[in-house]
Formats: sequence, C-alpha cells, structure tokens
Amino acid sequence: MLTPRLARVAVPIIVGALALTACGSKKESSSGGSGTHIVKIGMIAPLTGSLSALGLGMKNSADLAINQANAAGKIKGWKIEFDPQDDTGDANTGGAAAAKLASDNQVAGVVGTLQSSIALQAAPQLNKQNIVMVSPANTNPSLTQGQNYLKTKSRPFASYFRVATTDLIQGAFAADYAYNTLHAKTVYLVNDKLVYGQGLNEAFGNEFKKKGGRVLATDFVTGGQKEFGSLVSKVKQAKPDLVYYGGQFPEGAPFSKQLTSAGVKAAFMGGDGLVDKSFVTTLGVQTANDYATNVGAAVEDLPAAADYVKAYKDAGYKDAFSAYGPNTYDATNTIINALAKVLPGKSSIDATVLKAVESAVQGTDFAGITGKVAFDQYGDTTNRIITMYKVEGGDFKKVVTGTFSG
Amino acid sequence: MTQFFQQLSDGVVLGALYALIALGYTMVYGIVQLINFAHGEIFMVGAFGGYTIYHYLLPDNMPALVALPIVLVASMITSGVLAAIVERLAYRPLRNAPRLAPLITAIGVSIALQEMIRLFYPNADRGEPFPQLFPNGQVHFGGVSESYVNCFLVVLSVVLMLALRTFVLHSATGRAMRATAQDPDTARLMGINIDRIIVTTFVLGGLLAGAAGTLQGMVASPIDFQIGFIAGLKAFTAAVLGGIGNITGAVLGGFVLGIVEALATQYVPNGSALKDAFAFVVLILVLVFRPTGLLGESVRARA
Amino acid sequence: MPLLQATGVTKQFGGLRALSNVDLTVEEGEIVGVIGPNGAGKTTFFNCLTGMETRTSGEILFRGAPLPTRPDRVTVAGVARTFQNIRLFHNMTVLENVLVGTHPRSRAGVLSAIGRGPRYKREERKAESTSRELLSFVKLDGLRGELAKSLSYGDQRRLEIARALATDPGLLLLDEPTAGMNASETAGAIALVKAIRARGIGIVLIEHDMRFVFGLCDRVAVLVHGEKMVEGSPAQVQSDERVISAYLGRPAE
Repeated sequence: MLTPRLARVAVPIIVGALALTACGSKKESSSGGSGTHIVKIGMIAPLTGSLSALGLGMKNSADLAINQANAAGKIKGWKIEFDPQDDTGDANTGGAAAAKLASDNQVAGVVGTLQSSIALQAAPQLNKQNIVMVSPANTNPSLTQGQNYLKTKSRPFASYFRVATTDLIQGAFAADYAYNTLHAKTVYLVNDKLVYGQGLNEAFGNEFKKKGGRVLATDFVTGGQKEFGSLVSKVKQAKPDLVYYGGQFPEGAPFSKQLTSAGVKAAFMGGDGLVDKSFVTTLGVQTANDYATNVGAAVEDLPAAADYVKAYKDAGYKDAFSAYGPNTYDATNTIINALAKVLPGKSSIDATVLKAVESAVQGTDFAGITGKVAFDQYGDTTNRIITMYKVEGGDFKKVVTGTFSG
Repeated sequence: MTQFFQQLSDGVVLGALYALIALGYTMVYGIVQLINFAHGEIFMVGAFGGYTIYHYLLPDNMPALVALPIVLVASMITSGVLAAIVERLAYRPLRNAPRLAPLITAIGVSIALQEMIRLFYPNADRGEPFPQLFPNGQVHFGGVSESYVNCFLVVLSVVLMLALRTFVLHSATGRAMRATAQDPDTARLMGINIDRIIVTTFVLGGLLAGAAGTLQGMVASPIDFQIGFIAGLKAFTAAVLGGIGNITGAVLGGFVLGIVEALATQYVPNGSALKDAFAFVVLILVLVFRPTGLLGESVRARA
Repeated sequence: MPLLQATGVTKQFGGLRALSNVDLTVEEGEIVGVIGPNGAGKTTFFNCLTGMETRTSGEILFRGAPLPTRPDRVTVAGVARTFQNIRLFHNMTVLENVLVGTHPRSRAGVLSAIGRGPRYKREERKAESTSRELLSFVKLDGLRGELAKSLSYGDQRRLEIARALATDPGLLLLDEPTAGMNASETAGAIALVKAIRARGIGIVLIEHDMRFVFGLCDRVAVLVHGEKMVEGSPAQVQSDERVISAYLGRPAE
C-alpha cells in the first residue's frame, strides 16, 4: 500500500514547516571567561513578512555597529552580544518579543521598533524594567509626547528615545511642500488605521488646513489589502489635487499604482513608510507623480555616512541597508556609548546600572552619521531634518531637505 | 447615480475574483465535505508560478499580449498540479479519518505552503511586482470607467465560469462529479473511480485559482506570500454565502460580496474601514435567515 | 464456464458471522433467486460480491477470472446491482442518471472533454443513444428530462435498473426489485426481468415475494443465519421441510 507511506512523508513536511514558523532559535549565552562580562543589545524589527526589507537593513546595521564596538574594545571588560527578535510586522508578536527581552537580565538596551504601533506594545514593558529603547524609525508623536500631544505634552516612557523625528514635523513638512511648492489646494487623506498612518494623516491634515488647503475626506485601507478598485473610484470622484497616504509601502504601492491606472491625475504623497525600493518597482513605468518624505538627510548628503556605507558593503550583508540603516547605526551607537560610560568597573547589570544607562542616553551628544545625536526632554531627537523625495527613473530622487519650523 | 454604477462595476470586478477562487472551495466541499483551507495558498502559489515563467523563462522583449496567455496558463497549471499533489499527499490518506483530521491538515498545508514560498522564493516576503501584461487605458460606459485589465478580468472570469458550468453539466466527467457529490458509494458502483474524480475536482478548482492568481497579480501587483490569506478568506466567505457545495452559489456569493464591499466603501460612513466588517455582517444575516446560504440545499443525509 | 462462481464467501463483523461459507454459481442467462428471512445475510452477500464490503474469506470468479474487490472495478468487470432502498442520483435528471451508468464504457478522458474533440463527441453521442434505448426498454422514455426524485416509486425502481444496465453488465444483482410495488407493477417487473434475461444477462435477485421468485427463477438458494440452507429448482425448494420451518419462524437447527 502506498498511502500510509505517503502519509509518513507528508506529515513530517507539514510538521517541519509548522516548526519553522515558530522560529525561536535561542543561544543561551554564558558570560565568557577571563574576566569578560556579557551585555546584550536587543532588537525588535520585522525580519520576516512584507516589511522585512526594512527590518533586515536595521538588523545588519545594528550588527555592524556592535561588531565594530567589540573589535575596538569600546566597553572595557565587557563584550556586547546582539539579540535580534522578529516582530513580523505584527504588534502582538512585537509585544511578546519585548517581554522576552525585558525578562533577560543581560539585556541593557533595545534598538527598534520600525513601526509606531509595535513600539506602543514594546516600550511599556521595557520601561518597566528600565531598559532603554532607541528607535531609528518610530515617528508617531504620542510615543514621546503622550496621547494628548496636541494639547499637553507629557512623556510616557522615561527609557524610550528615538533618532527619527516625529510625524508632527514630517507631516507638517509634507503639507508645507504640497501647499506651497506643488500648489495643491485639496487633499484626500488615506491611512492604514495604524498608529503611524493615522498620526501622519492628522499631522499633514492639520497643517494643510492651517495653510488654507481643504481636506476632502479621510479613508482607510486594510493591512494586506492589494485591490483598491472601489476606494480608487471614490477618490477619483472627489478629484483631489493630492492623495496623502499614511501607511507602509506594501499597501501604498498597489494603491498608488491603481490610482494611476484608473486615470487619477492627483499627486500621491506619503511618509517614510513608503521609502523602499519595492515601492518604486511596483509602480513600474507608469509612475507619474509620487512623493515621499523620509526622516533625516539623504545618505549621499552625509559625509560622515560614507564610512558606514563602505563598512556595510565590506561586511557582505545580503540585504540592502534600506531606509533606516543609517538611523539604526546611530541608534545602536547611542546605546553602546552609554554602556561604555556606565559599565566599566561593574560586574553585573542591575536596576541601578540600567537607570544609569538611561540617564547616559538622555545626556547623549555625539556626531552620528546622520548628524548630531542628542535628545530633548521627551526623548525626541533634536535633529529635525526631513527630506522630500520624488519617484523618478526607477528610484527615489531627493527634491529638498529641510525642517519644519512652523 | 453615475458613482453608484461605478461602484457597482468595481464590485463586479472584485466579485469576479472572489468567485473564481470560491469555486474551488465549493467544488471540493461538494465532493468530499472538506473545507480546503489551503486553497488560498494554492491561488498564491499559482500567481508565483506565472510570475516565475515570466521572470525567468520568457525573453525580455516578448510582446506582453503574447506573454499573457503563457503566464496565465503557467499559473493555472501550477495551481492545478499543486492542488493534485496536496490532495494526494495530505488529504487522500485521511479519506476515512474523522472529519476534524483533514480539516486540521488543511490548515497545516496552508501554513506549510506559505512558509515554503516565504523561505525559498526570493523576495516573496516583501512582494514582487507582477508583470503588467495588459495595455493601460480605460473603457467608458456612460460615466462609468474601468481599466482594460479590469474588463479583461471580468470577461476571462465569466468565460472560465461558463466553461466550468458546461463541463460539470454536460460532460461525462462532470456528470460523474455530480454523481460522486450526491452519493459516492453508488457512484462507485457505476464504475466511477471516485479517487480520480476527487483529484479532478481539486485540479479544476486549482486551475481557476491559478487564473485568479495571474488576474490579481495584474490588477493588484505586487504578489507576496500572504496574498492567499485574505483572498482565501474572502472567497471562503463567498462560498458560504452562496451555499457551500453549490457552484452557482459560489459565483453569486462572490459577486454579492464584491458589490457589498464596493458599495460600503462609497456609501457607509467610514466604509473603507468597515467594509470587511460589513461583508461579514451580510454573511451572518444570510446564515441567520438561510442557514444553508443563498442557494444551498438542506444538508443531505448520507445513506 | 459459469458466469459467476462464488465459493466459501464468509463475512465476519466483529464477533458476528454474517455469512459463512456461502457458495453460489450462476450460469450465463440464468435467473437465480436468493431468499431467506430478514437478517439472513442476503444483502451482505450482494455487498461482498460488489466490493462495497470486504469479504473475510472466499473466492469469487466472474467469467473464470477473479472478481476485483473495488466497487468501480467490479462494475467495469461486468457486475451491476440495484438497491433495496433505491439509491438514485436524486438531483439529476432521468437521462443523466442513465448516462452516469454509461461511464465505465466511455473511453473519453477529461482532457478530450475539455477540448471537446471528435472522439469525445462520438462517445457522448453513443452514450446518449444507449441511454435513450435503455429508457425506452424500461418504458421511461417520456420522463427523460424529469429529476429522478420527482418519479413515482415504481418508476424509480425501473430507472435504477436502466442505470444498472447502462454499465453493460454480464450479471445483474437485483435487491428486492418489487418491494413496495402493487400487483400490476409487479407483473410489469416480471416482464422486465425476463426481457433483461433475453438480452443475455444473468440475474441474481433477492426477493420476499415468493410468487415472484418461484414464478421467475431457474434456481433458488435459501440463506438462513448467513448459511446457505438449500439450493435447487423452485419446486425442490418449495417442498423442503427446512425451508418451510424457517419461513414459519421455527428454529432451523
């Protein structure tokens, strides 16, 4: 009989695949001998799933910074281990990853997350253990300035910092550009219902209205959605000058493409969530009028980044450093610098040490590859540079770099 | 009013896609009473099959309209063959097991296929732009406009559905399929090799899902390893809405679902956020008043 | 060479022996009756012949070759049957039911059906003319387009026979062909069985209607408690003491 034999083949394949999804390879590290102690820097980022292109660039950049610090013996008597966790782009998974890192008493700092919605799950858990979290990419204002950031700012997490500026700046910068440079008078807002997308939409809308523009409507897409026919028709009927999208490229790219192929002439603009190569490749040849802002200056405009770009290339990473690589490199070095100040002479990591690391990060002041790295009283970067890109010739072309000052 | 018809037309486009996939669910259910949860992934792998042929095998300068049928057929064959393999390896050994066993296996196969594509297909996790094999442009009927590729989607879907209908109603194999669905033991005694009929049913469902893979790729590029999940969920809803096991019901359910989503997007406040919820409300309402779906019959007792 | 030669057919259900060592031989063109009280194992015997149940032991030769054990292959080999509780494809038309029966004799595959090639068309035309001929043979030609479930009881029985004949059998097993029929319908059934025999088809039938059995059959076998008690001509069986006592309900032992 063939059947039972086939079953014996099929079952392990299925079981094996199931096991692969529950990825959790974990190397338990013991503190190395000869007086060297181990400190871990964790990471929470999407290493698989549709945002993995961004997440893998983050992982490699942090890995690079840590390898360089270890090679240089930057923290006397201590060796840094890297513990990257996959949030798969899902807030619950990210929350579980944060819980895991928070319970590891060798972890003294976490780099991440990519998405603001996941940071909202991760930051409280790490904050409770006084573990610093430095995000290279979160832009939603509420993470540093509290839920009521428009009225009264109050910092919710003392251990949370970020080297990316907020959507208040990013959205307002984009609104300013749209109104004054593109001469858009009406906008159609669309977001993905997540913290980042909604916040960006709001920030853009508020500034756009202040300038005298009109918000025609706000609509929504769903994570994983690829077909936008009826939303496109709705937008088309409204005849906006601009569609401003708050969300990530996996939905933003097909949405923009379907707008274009339905004959919608409006410009399409979004935030740093759109800045990925696959946004451009999805649009293909019919790209008409697509813009995206990113936090920080363009890498080619940062003389200090040249060494990083070269070191990244030399290290032979398989994936590109993507939109947040340089920021991640700076975020990781922020933690390393703080550890270098606090750890020498200590033999273990306890609450006092972690508190000291936290205040060392708060006092950060160094020249990073993306510019000066320092934080204000909310944990936000003092570097408020935004760059506007336009999709052209199969890539993002820098249009203007600056900041928003009201 | 024009906008109403525009949304109706957009709903038909979406519905055609749902219906093509829903047919696979409903046919398989009709014949082996199995909800093949891996069907969404069979659709997804089909899209990658078509993409693979285009990207790696066809010459770059091949005219799009020549490549289109090749890609389409490649998608269909990929899904069809995969459906047959899944049936043979995962479901047939469990033919006489309690119902729950193949159902859980189906979920396992679904995860296994997603993970295989994610792990082994380059860039499948971030999404690959699907080739645009249809000229850009719009067809206008009155004030309603649809892109050429959307029109092609609807026309091809309807042609495939009619072909399926003819096959099932008027061919010897189709008759044998219906006979097996009604009473497999008696069908056996008519000399019908029901193993072959069951695998044929899986393959037919796979062929349609594969076609849907190419169509969705062209309408809503890019494709990634997760596209089967939402498409599968919607198509399954459509199949249940129409009355699972009923072929006409799956088509009707697909169109109803697509149109409800489109109209909800336009006319319900916050509709674009709530359209999925709306689709499920419709499903629940139908099931409350007609537990067997729009066209389903009461469950047959098996002798 | 006998048409059917079953030797030592035994069927064990757990601790219950439903059939034990039953032998039965059917010659070409012969009508054999199988009678016995309820629960004697008559239908089980049919199920074992047609592969619907797996026999525990025993050998079954059809036209000298071992009969396959898978139901579809049994049918392809040339043994067809009807059921005591009619099992038509209720949601298909009368004609379609018979067309399904032609399935094993059609050589057109799935691919030619999709391509609708000439061979497929030829096979379909042949199947349809065979089916129409069979429907007029069982006098249902006026009801071709009706759904099977809308037919009267007697018509459903005749349709089931037509469907079985469509498989082109050498041997037809009829399970209580007159159950639930009135006198005139039964008379029609007698004529029908004779007409089937006239087509050169051997018949084994299970019946409770004794007049029907003894009026029609060339030979009769009596099953009691899964064992063949007597086999012989209708006259021999009718006069056998053991049969009489079995039918009057006295213990046979």
